[in-house]
Amino acid sequence: MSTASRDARRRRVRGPSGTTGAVGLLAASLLVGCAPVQGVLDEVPQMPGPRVTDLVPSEAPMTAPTGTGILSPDGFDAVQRMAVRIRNVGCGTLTTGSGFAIDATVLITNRHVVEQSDEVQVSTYDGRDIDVATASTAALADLAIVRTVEDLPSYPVLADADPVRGDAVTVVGYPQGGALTVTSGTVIGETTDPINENLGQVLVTDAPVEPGSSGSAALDEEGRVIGVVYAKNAAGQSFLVPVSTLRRLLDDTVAFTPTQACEP
Amino acid sequence: MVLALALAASTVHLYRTSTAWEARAGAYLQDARGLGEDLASTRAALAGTESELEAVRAQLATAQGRIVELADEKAQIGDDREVQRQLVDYQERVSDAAGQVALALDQCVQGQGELIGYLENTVTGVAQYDPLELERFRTDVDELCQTATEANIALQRELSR
Repeated sequence: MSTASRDARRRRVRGPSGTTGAVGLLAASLLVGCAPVQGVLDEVPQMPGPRVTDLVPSEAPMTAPTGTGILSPDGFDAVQRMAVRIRNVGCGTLTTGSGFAIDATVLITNRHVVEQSDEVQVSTYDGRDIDVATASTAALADLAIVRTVEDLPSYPVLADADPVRGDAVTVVGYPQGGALTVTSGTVIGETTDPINENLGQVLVTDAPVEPGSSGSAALDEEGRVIGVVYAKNAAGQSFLVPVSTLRRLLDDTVAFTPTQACEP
Repeated sequence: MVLALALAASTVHLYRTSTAWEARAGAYLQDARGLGEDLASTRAALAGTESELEAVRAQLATAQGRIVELADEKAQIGDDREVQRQLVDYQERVSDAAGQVALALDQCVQGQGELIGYLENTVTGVAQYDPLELERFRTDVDELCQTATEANIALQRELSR
């Protein structure tokens, strides 16, 4: 309690015994004059006021949660929940790749993951199989769209712009067709496509990827998609189709054409 | 006299005031002790809850890891299933091809047997056949055998892959 409020309370609260003291001091004031009396009265100890009972604050201070990410009931965050494993059952061949949802029933992957396919099978982070409706590939980039019959668990937003050199990048996918894996790195820069699968520039990162990571989402620190993994080189660098290319092709209604079934 | 009265009144006032403040201080001290006990109890409960939370977090992490493992195991089994299915399809196609090759080779053998019979009959004079018809039959048998042989070579090549 501050000194000011204590003084205010002393002045405000006067008990019966305070009256007795005041009488004595009033008599004294008659002897010494009125002017200094007020100052003396302020200094005279007064009876305590009503007892304070609200010693505990009515609103307890809250500690901000330390957890990050948007958690699902099973505790997996959005980064993991949006990733899908893709199995391409071809004619006499079987390959696996990765993908990620961009809508409740639409996912993105690489063209080379779903082409020459007899059947495309999709499974989620928790092993659930999702029936596939259609698959379409782009001619101008190593990108494909897979539409599903059932809803996908989660989907991120696409970044508004491509990342720049030094930006952090997180890759989530299924390297070697194995378990769901999240790796991190940074954007090294841009280059022309070393394998001539894409028009325009592609992004280079040092995030580790493996065969099977193709189609993985590359995310920025806010969990937004900044690119799609489609290749790696012997130096361990990974190559991304930038989100600007993805956006441009998604906006082009004729950019994707249905995949051709493999020929036995 | 008035001064004595004032002094006495002031003394009484100060005594009563100090007594009241002492009582108030005691009450606040009691409150403080109660709050301190409550705080200690709450802190202990918080520590226990935090410990439980850590344990639950560890269990959640373990469960998540297990879910990922199970999803991977299921995916691998699915991959194996598809590979096995493709293998079965392949073996069925190979079996069909082998049956057709065997049938063609059998027809070849039968044709050659018939041709040998015709030639023996011609040589021994048991029967006489039109030479042109005999030649045509021999050509047909050769073509049939050639086709069967090529099919067999292709089958052997496929099996040796």
